Amino acid sequence: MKRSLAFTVALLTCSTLLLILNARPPSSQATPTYLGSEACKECHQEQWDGFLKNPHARAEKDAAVVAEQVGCEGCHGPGSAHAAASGDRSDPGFATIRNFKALAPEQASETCRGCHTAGDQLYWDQSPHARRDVACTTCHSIHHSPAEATTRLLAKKNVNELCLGCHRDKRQMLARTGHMPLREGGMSCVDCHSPHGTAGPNQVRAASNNDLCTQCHADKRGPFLWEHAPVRENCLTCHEPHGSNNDKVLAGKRPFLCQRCHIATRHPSTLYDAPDLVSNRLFNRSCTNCHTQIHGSNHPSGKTFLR
Amino acid sequence: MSRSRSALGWLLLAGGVAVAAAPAVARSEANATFGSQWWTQNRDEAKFMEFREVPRGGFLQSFVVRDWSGRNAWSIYGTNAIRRDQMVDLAWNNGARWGVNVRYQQIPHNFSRIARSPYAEVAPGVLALPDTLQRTNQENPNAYTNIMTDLLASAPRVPLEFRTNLVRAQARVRPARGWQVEVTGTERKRSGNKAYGGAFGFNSAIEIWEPIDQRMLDGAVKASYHRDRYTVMVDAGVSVFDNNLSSLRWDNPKRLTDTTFATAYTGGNGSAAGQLALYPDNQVVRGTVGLAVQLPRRSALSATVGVSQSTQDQDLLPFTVNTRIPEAVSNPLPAKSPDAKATVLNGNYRLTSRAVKDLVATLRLQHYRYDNQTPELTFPGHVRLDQVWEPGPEDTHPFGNENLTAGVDLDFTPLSKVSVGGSYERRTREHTLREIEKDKENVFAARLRLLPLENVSVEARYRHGERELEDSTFTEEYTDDAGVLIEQPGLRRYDLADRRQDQARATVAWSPTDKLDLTGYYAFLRDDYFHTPLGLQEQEQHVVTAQATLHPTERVDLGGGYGLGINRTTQRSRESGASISTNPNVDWRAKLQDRDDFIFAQAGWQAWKDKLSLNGTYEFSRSFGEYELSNPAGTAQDLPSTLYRRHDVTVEAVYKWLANADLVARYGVEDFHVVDFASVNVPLLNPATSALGPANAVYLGDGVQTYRAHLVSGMVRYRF
Repeated sequence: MKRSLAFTVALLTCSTLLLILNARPPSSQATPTYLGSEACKECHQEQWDGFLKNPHARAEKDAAVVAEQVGCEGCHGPGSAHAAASGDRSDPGFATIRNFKALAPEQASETCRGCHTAGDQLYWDQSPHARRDVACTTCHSIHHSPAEATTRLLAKKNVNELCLGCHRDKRQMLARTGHMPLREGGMSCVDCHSPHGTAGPNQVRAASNNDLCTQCHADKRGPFLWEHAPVRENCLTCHEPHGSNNDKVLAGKRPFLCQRCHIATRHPSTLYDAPDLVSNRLFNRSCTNCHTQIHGSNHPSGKTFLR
Repeated sequence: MSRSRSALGWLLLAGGVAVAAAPAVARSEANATFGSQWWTQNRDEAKFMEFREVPRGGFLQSFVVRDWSGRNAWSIYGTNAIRRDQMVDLAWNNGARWGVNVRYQQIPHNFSRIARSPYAEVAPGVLALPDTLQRTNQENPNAYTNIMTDLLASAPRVPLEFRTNLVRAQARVRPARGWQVEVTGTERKRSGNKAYGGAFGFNSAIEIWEPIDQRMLDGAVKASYHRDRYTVMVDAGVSVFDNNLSSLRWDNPKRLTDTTFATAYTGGNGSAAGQLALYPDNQVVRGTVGLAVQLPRRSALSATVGVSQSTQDQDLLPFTVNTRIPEAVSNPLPAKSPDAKATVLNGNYRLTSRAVKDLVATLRLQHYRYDNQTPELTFPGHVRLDQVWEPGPEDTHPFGNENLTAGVDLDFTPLSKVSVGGSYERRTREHTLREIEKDKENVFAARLRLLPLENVSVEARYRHGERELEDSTFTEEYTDDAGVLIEQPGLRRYDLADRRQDQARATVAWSPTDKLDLTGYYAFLRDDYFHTPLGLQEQEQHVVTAQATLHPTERVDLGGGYGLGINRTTQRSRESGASISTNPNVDWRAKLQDRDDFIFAQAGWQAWKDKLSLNGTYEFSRSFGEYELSNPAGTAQDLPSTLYRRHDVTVEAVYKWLANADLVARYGVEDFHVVDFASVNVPLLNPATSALGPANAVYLGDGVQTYRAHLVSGMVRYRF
């Protein structure tokens, strides 16, 4: 605890030092002015049509609660010099608007963060995505989102397809025999993870893996009269949530999974001695054929999770 | 079903009326994909529809109705309408000020359609057998196998499936600049059956099913305020789990009347019925406060502190339903209910700075404490399997834990095409009431990103961690009060044991032309439990994937990939009887390997420009398990290998019939093949003839089966 206190103090000291060292204001130069979105429509009809369908168009009606500047120029910056260039790329004014394809990831995200600060965006700056140069526009497409009937403006048709574009090993894991209903559309990656960052590990939407799993599997939440210690500490000790080749997305085949820890008395643990392999501890749910309350028991006789 | 049909009907009607009534200036669009489908499956295997319903006959695959005009925008989006895996999503937004979103979703989980059981659910949570059967078996125990064989052969089917119905409503309001308030309510209802174990004896595994009737209610309010450089967020919520079935009671096929004798727990012939406690009702209340500050010099700080409390106070059941165990009657329970309570306190603090050019530095601290405040109860003993009294005393163990992770990350981009990074992390964990009370781990990581050529990117990561125990109580935990071993002294449980972990990952992406993208990926993980004589000793994983997309012409899209995964584990155990053996000659070792291969391919061809397109997808997955066993005596034999294999092919033709209508013809075939000694052709009555005893185990017979399914459908995609 002392160490954590020391670390916290160090963290706060660093923050304070940075606060004291005020940043210099950006140098000003002859700046273009705002024209309004209607001016953009004249040349960018296709983008305009798409823009009308998305939430940013509606934000224009409520500038008072959103930002100083909304509409096309809310993101792309004042457009007078760009408009005056009349499509002439050699005109210096042409490039005065913000072109997201040319921006560094951090700069692109900074624009979005001008308005999107609530919810999980609180953690964006510290998120692994931000630190590894993933920009908002890597996953979101404001003008050309192929996603149907969603306000998220995803750059792909759905969440899973988007995430699997980079997290390639997960595609293979989801194809395994034991999996959660992601392939079938019953769940998506963002049900468990927040790509914008969280206060939990691995960007899960909870303070711990267990807190996350028990949001849906609340029956396993307890606390129980008789606890199974590893269950209480981490569901991932026994389960592989992205998919496994075992029943219940277990990390190993039973009884071997259980026998990683349970090698003690009363049970002949060598079920495999010749001449036959017939044992009611080998079939179906194996150990949990009998120890059915393996996540914890609330029965006075449930010490070994049999009741 | 009628409720969901009705809900959908109202939603569609509302959508239709709104579109029709929308003013001329309104913009709206709608589309629907509907049609008819036929499919066949050569075996009634539930895996085909594990998490979905494949419709027969007419169906509405998806629909969207959207309207936006002025301040208002709303949409109704749905998939798999009026089916058991349907989803309907309604969204309504008024400018940027407020929005409402309501979603209804059903998620089926089908386990088996071939399970059989002689039990009947005569009341919620009560599974009964005919009295005549129990009486006959009690009076003629030697005829048990024959009687049960006949009975099980004609036992009725039990559908092993449940369904989760989810309703989520969310409202978001921005009352003033900088403010956002979000209120979310979720109801999750789960109903159906799931296979369950209800053993009566050491050699008498009885499979029954758990009737599921559960409800979860969640409510949360999240408010955030942003001004200049600060964002403050407050989040509070409550979650209630309510199980309508608190216990499960089932008859013993071997007895009609209760009795007890010393070895009844072996034969399972002591009690007339068994009873177990199902998952108890529980509640969680939680709150979180978060703060993010944009600091000067391109730096940011975030701090989050959360607290939650879980409670569970379900009344305890009696020791047993066996009325002939005097100790179970004479010994009172130490408490009426567990009065279980746990408090979680967590904090997450991060400081990220880009103050130095091309360098991103992060300091982070994460703290999580699960403080289990459930009172420790001492029971005078327990009744094993409702058969015999086992004297105590027996103490409950309210396990808790505390984790502290402190780390620093540095990411440096010295050149536009080179980025390097490194991390150091120190983790300490404390485990209340476990044999290892405290451990620590030092983790080092390195990262590299390169763009050696304009169209090539390389990314590689390596991570090394060493976990070591600090405080242990092996002597205390592994022996009883008399100093007799109750646990193998060499056992180290792998979630606590000393561990050396190495992880590596590398990705190479190459786009040789603007029409071709190639990606390769490799990941490696090795856990070495280097101080573990008994238990899991090592684990090694390899994952290799390769993917390619090709657009040879404007009309052709091709894509595909291959993946290979290998997971190897080695574990060692020691054979013991009623007392712990310390003889290494009775050790045995298991070397297990699970290999999975995955292939996917997709092709799209616009055969007739803007008129006809052909698409195809193929997926292949195969997992192959090997179980190699050895012991000093040489008597151990390997278990048979297991195999799970799936081919899934879909071809589709889309013909643009009208400007606003496409015709779709689709054919699919799915081939699933399984070889698994543990779950294929599982007998309803275990015909054990080994030293373990006679055929006592009654199973549900819900094994997995090989199958092939064909599917043909014709659809119309209509844009209104």
